[in-house]
Amino acid sequence: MTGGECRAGSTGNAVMRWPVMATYIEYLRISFHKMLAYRISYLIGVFTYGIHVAVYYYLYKALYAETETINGYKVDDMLTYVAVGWICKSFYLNYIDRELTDDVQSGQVAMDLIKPIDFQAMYFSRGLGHSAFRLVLFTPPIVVLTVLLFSVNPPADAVHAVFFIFSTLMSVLIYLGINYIIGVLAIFFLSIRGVLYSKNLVIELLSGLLVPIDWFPDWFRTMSAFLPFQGIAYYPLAIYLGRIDGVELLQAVGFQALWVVIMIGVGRFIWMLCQKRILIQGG
Amino acid sequence: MFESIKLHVTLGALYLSKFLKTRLEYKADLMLGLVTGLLFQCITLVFIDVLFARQSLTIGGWNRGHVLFIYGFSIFPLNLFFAFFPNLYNVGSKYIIEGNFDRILLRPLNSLFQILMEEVDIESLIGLIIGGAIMYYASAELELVWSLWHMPVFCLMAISGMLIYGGVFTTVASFSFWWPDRIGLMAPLFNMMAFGKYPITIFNRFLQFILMWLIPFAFVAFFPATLFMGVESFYTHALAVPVVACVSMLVGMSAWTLGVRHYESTGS
Repeated sequence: MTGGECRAGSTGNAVMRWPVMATYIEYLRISFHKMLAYRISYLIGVFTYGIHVAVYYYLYKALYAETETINGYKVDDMLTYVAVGWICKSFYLNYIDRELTDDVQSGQVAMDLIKPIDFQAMYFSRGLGHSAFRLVLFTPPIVVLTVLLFSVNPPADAVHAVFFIFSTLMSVLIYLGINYIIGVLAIFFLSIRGVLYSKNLVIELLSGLLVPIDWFPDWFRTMSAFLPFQGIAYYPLAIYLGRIDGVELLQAVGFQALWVVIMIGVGRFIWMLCQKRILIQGG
Repeated sequence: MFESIKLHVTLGALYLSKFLKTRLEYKADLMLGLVTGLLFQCITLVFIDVLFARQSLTIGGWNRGHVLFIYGFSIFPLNLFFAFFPNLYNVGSKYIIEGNFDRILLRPLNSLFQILMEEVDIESLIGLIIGGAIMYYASAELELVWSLWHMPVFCLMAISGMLIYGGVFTTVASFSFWWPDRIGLMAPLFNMMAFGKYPITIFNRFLQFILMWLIPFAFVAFFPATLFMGVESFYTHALAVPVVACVSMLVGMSAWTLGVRHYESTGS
């Protein structure tokens, strides 16, 4: 109860100064605190990332046993790619698709719909709350674990490090955009847990987390150029390794930014269409 | 004893037919499940294909054909497990935390049996088609000759693999009786299944030890697959697979029985 009062008090001040944003920041804050509540899941989650890195790390290590370079990647590059790739995933991943479908199935969504807030912005705030939690508390132990157990090279240089950070922030937004769209579409199915799980696996492949995009055949690379997924893993990692340089750096980040805008736009449009269906079901 | 088994089998068939009927009610869901099931298998297939794009590459002495064959076989135990054991994932949340386990205990039937029968994920079996196709393709690449005696052995190995997964996951699900937790240790274990898809020999000694003696996922697909590929150095391991399956299920069922004895209702 006291927690509730504190919360009301602190928003009260903020509302006067910054009326709209404060509401969404509050969603972000609550989401952050919810994550704090599951301590055991948290520890297990850190361990789980160790497993992911181990599988692919040893696979690539074995693949490089008899050869120096594959598709222009040296063994060190590739092992770093795998390790940093999963570290990034521990940061950009969120589950707002599942939260959204859970809220619809439990009826919680009715309470959200009567509030004078933007539905998409609310879920984005919750997703950013996850990411904030992950950045501060989840990803750092995974970094330590990974660096201790596996060999990881530092970023190519300072410029690439800066662009890498910026690019990774973009991947958070792209992932949010995709999850929001999937979450809204999944409303119309009953058992979607399997689908949402498989969706994450499909993204692992299409984003270039499992294999760099430039290892794929030409048709796949052409297809990737017209899809948002390589903005999630491949671009940040290629920047980290210094494989993208000069103007291409700006192009890569521009590609990501463009997709953030497109995903937000598509998400709003689909929600507009789906909202009517939900209202009919409820009526 | 015999009467009890007969009762469980009859009721099992009834549970299954009831489940199929409800599943067919929601056709869109079923279609989505089938498409997802097929897609799911293709991810690793594409991954392996891209890794071995240069034909000469091997991992720890295993070439593209071997790796594909092991993966193709691994789909069988994995999807059988997904089909018949999906409810183990809900033991902590749906049954213990939300109190549905009280309902189970009221009936004069084995509690683990009831929970397993309440949810059957029949769509997962669609993946077996892909598994079969991959094995067919890989067999041609490795020039393996299949004969009639392979079939019963193949079924025995696939079912043993399913039971190894079943036993390990039942053991972990039983932990929920002592420490109720929504996800618990299921998630990392679930991710550890990925080790089983690849030749065990590429991992370091520590991981190999764990995958053979502690969480015996190496016996699910890798060792059985070596039997069919004719790798003689692993024949003893392959023959041990049914034994490992029995031990795994025994451990799982013992842990479950102990857990049920320890169980206290949420009382809500």
